[in-house]
Amino acid sequence: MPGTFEPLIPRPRRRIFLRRTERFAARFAVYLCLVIVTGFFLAPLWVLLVTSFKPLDEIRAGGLLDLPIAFTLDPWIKAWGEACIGITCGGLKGYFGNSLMVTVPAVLASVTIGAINGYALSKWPFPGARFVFAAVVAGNFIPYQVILAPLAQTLRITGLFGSIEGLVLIHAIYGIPITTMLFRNFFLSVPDDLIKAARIDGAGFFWILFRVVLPMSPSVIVVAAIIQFTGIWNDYLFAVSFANSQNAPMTVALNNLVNSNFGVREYNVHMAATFIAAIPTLVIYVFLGRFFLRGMAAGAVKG
Amino acid sequence: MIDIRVVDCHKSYGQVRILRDISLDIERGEFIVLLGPSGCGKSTLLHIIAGLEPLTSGSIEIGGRDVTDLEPKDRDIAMVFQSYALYPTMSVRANMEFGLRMRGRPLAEIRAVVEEKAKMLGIDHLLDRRPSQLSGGQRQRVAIGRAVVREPRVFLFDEPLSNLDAKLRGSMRTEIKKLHRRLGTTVIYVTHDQLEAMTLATRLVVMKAGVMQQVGTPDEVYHRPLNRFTADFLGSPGMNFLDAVLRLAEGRVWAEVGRTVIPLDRYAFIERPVDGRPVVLGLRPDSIRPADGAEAAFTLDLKATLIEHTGSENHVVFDLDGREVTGKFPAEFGLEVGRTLPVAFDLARLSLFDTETELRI
Repeated sequence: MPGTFEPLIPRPRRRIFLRRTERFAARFAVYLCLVIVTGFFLAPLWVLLVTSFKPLDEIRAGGLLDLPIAFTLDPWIKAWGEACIGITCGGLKGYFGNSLMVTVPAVLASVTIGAINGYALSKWPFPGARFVFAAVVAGNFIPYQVILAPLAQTLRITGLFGSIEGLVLIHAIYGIPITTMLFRNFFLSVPDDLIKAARIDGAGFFWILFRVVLPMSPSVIVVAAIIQFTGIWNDYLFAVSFANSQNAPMTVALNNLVNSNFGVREYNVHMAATFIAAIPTLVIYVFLGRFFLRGMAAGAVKG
Repeated sequence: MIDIRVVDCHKSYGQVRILRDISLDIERGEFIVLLGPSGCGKSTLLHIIAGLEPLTSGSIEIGGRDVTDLEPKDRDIAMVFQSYALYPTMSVRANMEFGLRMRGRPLAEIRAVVEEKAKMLGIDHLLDRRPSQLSGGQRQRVAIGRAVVREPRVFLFDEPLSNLDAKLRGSMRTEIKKLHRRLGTTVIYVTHDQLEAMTLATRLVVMKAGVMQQVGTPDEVYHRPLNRFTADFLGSPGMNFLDAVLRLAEGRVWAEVGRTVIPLDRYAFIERPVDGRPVVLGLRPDSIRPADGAEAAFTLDLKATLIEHTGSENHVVFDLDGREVTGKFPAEFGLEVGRTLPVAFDLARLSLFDTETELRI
């Protein structure tokens, strides 16, 4: 308030003490909340893990959250190398490789192309750049169901239907809108003067991108890579629609394994298989998660 | 020898005209300062010369070559930015080497040149640091170093000192001047700071709203401004402008300011003076001083109405028939508000402008 001011009288000691305990209580409440929420989200993972190490009869006895009594690795071995998926009984290992062969090239392609697009759109404006960007953003909102039939047609014509290459192509293309948007928005915060300085120094379009701009952008590269990796690794719709049975990735194989109607339901094998399917994304988050958070925060402020 | 030639340069963004009809010949080794208020197009002109922005029409020649359609890297120029624009992920050494590496010079030569120039600029102990570990002045020095290693034909400076604090700005200004003297390279320097412009320039280009107002040595531009804008833009405190009427009497020319009549015998008219023509009379505060009695200067008895102390001198506002006139007085000159005293006017340094066109007459 202008013109008035509070007299500087020290507060009584007691108040300060009270404030301290209050603050402690508040902090405690916050942590309690966090622990509960964390437990809630970790519970399925826990069930998954403990069940995968139990023999079948122990599972039937109940005790969903209990630790295994007779610890066994058999379900894991079976899930990886012996479980029957469809008519073949070679476990998940082949499909794990399929997933890697789809995911890694598709991530590399969509991140690289997205970076180049975003860089061109933000730092080398050309007539119609805004329209192009708007179109790319709109690409993010196309529901995949709408494009399934045209895609199938396209893949058939190009002879890629059923193949791993076909899936790579589709994932790379449909990753481009989101990666382009991420990179474009991040690069807006890279000062134009740097580009100008590099141009005067004699660097061209790609030199500036790879020597000046990308080294400044590890966080957005990681964000784009994580989003793409998890998205493509976990994709089921494209995989089940376009891959034939020996080229199917993990998600499809896992579904076939879990939903097979023969014999007893081996929950422990299913759990182990599910965990194997989740390992790569978990590993990525654990190792790159720090960058991910940083990148998301940067994006949030600069938008 | 003409080093840079700007011919009939125009620049528009859509309907907005940024630069109109800019033509400028720059001699080898000159220090040209582009000066003007923000938005006058001075930076755009520099970017056009650098090749970072295309022209709408006109052409640019550097070293006798038409470079209008050439990329910045092929123009034999180097530029220093206001924001320094150092590559943040590279060391100082890598920053300075970058341009030479892009040009594919042998590594041994690059190393040697960078070491030499770093030593010259006093940044050789910083070579392994990152730009983020440097102070503002050091960063500016590195930015200059990056430009210097290439040994270009022309240096372009885009407000290089604007991000520095006042004291550092002063010392960097001196260093840039020394550097220019040592290297003898042509410089084009953009600033809105008139002190920088006056101290650095061999020639000054004053710009306003995309149009060149005046080109000349700092002395010419300061003492013989070609229009009222230039007169007003340079100098602090600003020039005194008084509405006056020309009078021809007894074979002499006079300016009538209210009841005061000022002789214009020493004024070099561009146009023939006409009796009764309304004009604006401009006098710099430096030309208004205490009368010491000895000189045969034009003297008036004026009352001091306001005194501003700046430390080194006092700015004194006098009342001249109801108009305010500011003069620069030495600080040790004892003076109080309300006193009337004889004030000397240096009429050799006076300017006359047309009231309508505001051009010098």
